[in-house]
Amino acid sequence: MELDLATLAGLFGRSFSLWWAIVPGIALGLAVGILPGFSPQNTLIILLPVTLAMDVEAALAFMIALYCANHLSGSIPAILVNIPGSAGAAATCIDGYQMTKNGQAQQALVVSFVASVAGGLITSLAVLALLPFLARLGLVLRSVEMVVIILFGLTLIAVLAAKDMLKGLIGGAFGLMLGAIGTDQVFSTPRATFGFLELYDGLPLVPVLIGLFAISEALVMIEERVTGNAAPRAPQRPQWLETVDGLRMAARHWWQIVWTGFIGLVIGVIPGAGAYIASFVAYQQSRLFSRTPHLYGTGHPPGVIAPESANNGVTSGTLVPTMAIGVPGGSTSAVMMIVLQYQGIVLGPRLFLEQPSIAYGVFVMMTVAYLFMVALILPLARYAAKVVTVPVHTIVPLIIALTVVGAFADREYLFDMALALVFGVIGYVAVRTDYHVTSILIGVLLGPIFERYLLRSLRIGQGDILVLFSSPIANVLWCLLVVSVVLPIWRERRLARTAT
Amino acid sequence: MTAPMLTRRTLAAGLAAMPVAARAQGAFPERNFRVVIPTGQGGGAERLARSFDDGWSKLLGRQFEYEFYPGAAGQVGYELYVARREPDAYNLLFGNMGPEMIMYALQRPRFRFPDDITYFCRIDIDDSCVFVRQDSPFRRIEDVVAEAKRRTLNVATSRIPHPASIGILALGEATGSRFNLIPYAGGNPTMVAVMSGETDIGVLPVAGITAQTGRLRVLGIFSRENVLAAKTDNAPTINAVFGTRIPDLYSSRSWAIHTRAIERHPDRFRKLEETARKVFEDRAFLEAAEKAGQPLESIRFGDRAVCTEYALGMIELANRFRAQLSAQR
Amino acid sequence: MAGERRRRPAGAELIIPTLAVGFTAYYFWTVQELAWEAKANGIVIGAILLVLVALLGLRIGLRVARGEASLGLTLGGDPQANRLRLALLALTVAFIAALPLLGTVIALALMLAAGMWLLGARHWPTLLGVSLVTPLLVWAGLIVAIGTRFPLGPFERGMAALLGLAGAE
Repeated sequence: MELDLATLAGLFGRSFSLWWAIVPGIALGLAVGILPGFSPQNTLIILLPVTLAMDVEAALAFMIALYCANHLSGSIPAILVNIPGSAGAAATCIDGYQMTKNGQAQQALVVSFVASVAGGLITSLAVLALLPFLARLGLVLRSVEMVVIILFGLTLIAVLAAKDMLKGLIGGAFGLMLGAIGTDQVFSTPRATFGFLELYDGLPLVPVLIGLFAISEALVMIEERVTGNAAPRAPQRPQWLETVDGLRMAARHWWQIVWTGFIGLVIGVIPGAGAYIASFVAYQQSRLFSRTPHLYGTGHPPGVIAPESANNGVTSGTLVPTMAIGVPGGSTSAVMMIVLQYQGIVLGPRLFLEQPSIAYGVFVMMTVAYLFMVALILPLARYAAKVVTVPVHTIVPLIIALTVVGAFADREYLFDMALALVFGVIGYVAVRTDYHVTSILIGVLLGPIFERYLLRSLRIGQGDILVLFSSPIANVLWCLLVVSVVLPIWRERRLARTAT
Repeated sequence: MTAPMLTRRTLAAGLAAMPVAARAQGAFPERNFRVVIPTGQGGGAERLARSFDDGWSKLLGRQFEYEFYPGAAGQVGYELYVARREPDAYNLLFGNMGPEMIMYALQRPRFRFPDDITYFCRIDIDDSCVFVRQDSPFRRIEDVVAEAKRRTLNVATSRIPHPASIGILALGEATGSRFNLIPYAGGNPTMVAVMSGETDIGVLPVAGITAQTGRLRVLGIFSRENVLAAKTDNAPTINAVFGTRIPDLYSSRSWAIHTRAIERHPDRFRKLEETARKVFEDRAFLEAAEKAGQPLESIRFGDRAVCTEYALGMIELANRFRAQLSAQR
Repeated sequence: MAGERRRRPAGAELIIPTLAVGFTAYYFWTVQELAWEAKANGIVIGAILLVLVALLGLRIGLRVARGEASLGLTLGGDPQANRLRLALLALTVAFIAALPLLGTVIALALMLAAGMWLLGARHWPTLLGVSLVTPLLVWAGLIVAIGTRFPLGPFERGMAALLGLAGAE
């Protein structure tokens, strides 16, 4: 699986010539990413008749551009109105929306776009260089390792709960319980579904996301309308200055972009691990290694960079197992695989020898798609930021109407609209009584996959719980997990001691 | 965000693929078909259905639109299809009869077979097999059984309620060996688990394994003959090796329709039946299926009667192994 | 979140825990006859949840005993804003109920117009503009171009017949 420079240059040339497929892909990906409820895989499925009819390289370029752009734009509503466009952007809300409230909407957008594009660019180049190694990584990280990786994400519940630990943990545990709705992981028997067929497959993520974040936030916003106590949202400076400011913020944290991008890349390589795990783990790790952890949650740029760079790192990683072993790393790459197979392309290691233009080409196309996106960052930030100036009496009905529509779009059940509304009320009560909605969401998102990998590991251990400590990689991860739980406590103690 | 705005030649291709507006009124079919697939997107069912509709849509003059409702081993898709899709012969289901009839037997869903739903066009017979990774110490199926008599072997499977899982349990019962099933929720992750060495062996329908030759090796087939002998290194049938009498355990994908739609619109159903049968003579279908990784030897048409008999047999088998397959205690 | 927060009676803090405990009890009830693997995860987390809620109950109980909090059940917020919230929620329920009858475009237009009016939008051009243009964009972008199967109504059927679009059965 070696690649020489001349071939690589040829691949880049070929990818650039596919601009006519990449640009519409980016445009559609951005649009779909902004709307919660419209996932890249659903969009690609709907467009299958079109992509199947296209030439295979053009179809791939189109799909990859759509996929990557989708991960870029999920942060726009997260930052501007506290509504993640996709689950991968949920962690972006924590600091991104705070920046908007601090009057730094445009800076936050620029930071998130730079992190997304740079994270994606760096990791897609890294894949080109490290492909043989990464292909093996997917086979080394097994169920036991996944249990620990998901635990990293779950410790974020405790991190978010810093203000009131007890309530934070209750929120997280409530989320985890809700995440246990649906069929069990071993026998596929439904549990706690209230008799609803719509819940057999577990609590659907999109309506929960929409309810907890979008609808609850819209209900909170009404207060501003009535009390006239508008948040400081209007930009105070000429806009180009803010753009430059955002670029400066991103540049100052370039190292952050690199390493959180790699967290995303590694998690993306593991089949079945989604962008949201990566963004939560990256946020948690970024806070852990920060010299100023207390700034996280108050509108701190690295809190935006970490999840955004990581979720774009996932886009690069998820295609590795698809191309190298012929097993899709996620649902979006599963759809891409259908197109490839339909064109008679056999995925797997031999592809790199027989059709390098496709095997490596995929990652070159991804790099090129990110290069195209660079040009979009600044104008997009500038115009998107205007959303914050829309008056409450217009934006609140728009948010509720469009997100309820989005709740329907994912699975096409009216039930999901009602579910979004129920979670909107739960989310509103939670916000009002200081239960972190993000903690509940983390539970709902990570609960089912945690259960899946844990039970699988226990079954593999044939009842021996020590199986969880049976692999060297997992043991290293366990140690890191302990460090990341103990370190902040120790640091806090030391700070408290120096303060007195 | 207009989807088919993909410039140049794709514009024409895209438009051609878009549903054609009302043509001749009155003749069935007047519009596109909607198909419920009770498993996830990107799986074997979708690939096979799409290859089949390459040929079928030509004969019917309409396109097929797919919806995916995985969950609860197929229960979600089936219940939704029976309860919420109009029985008008425009709504079809494309299912995997084996595992899904096991689900029917174990989970007692809210529909009745064959009163509510009828399979009418079997597309393939995909025998269950035992497989290992290429460099596994197990060279023959006998090695597996010998080792499983010493210690319990971990077996990766797509789901516990699945013909392949029943096969390995039956083998254990017949030979006194012990197998521990680990469900991976799908064929792809099951193969990865075996490749990575997370489990000792795996059981799956054999067709998907033949696409991974060089990485995975088939050791034995749960069937009376190995039709894919050439592609599986002449793997023996398990009954031949051990002298057991395990029934043929294959998955079998089939088109299904509301039984009420057959009663209400017998003419439409006849058209579907006749055209579906003709697809098997279409080279385009066979080529598309082969490209999608479906060995041609496994493609075998079966009519309504064949499907019903197979499905009822599967229900009976599932009831026999209920204790190991179900969470109900 | 936004705005000043009044001193709130502690009873409201128990709404989420009560929901959580209620759901946990229901969960336990549905899994009682299942194999351990099908319920272990939920039972362990549920047990932790119950302990946490008991601790919270203790904490609030102590505060009430010391006279620092009451068990009142208000979420705070301005009374007028609360009325608007309830009205908006009722409107959304009506929207979901009306959707299968009126179709997406008409229901969405009515919902937006009513919602904006409710929240005090009185500038007619904006009000009409937003509540007409948005549904049309949803129709053109999501229903016609992408083909999402939103509930269809008189508008969608009429347009489909008029323009000869497929998919309006």
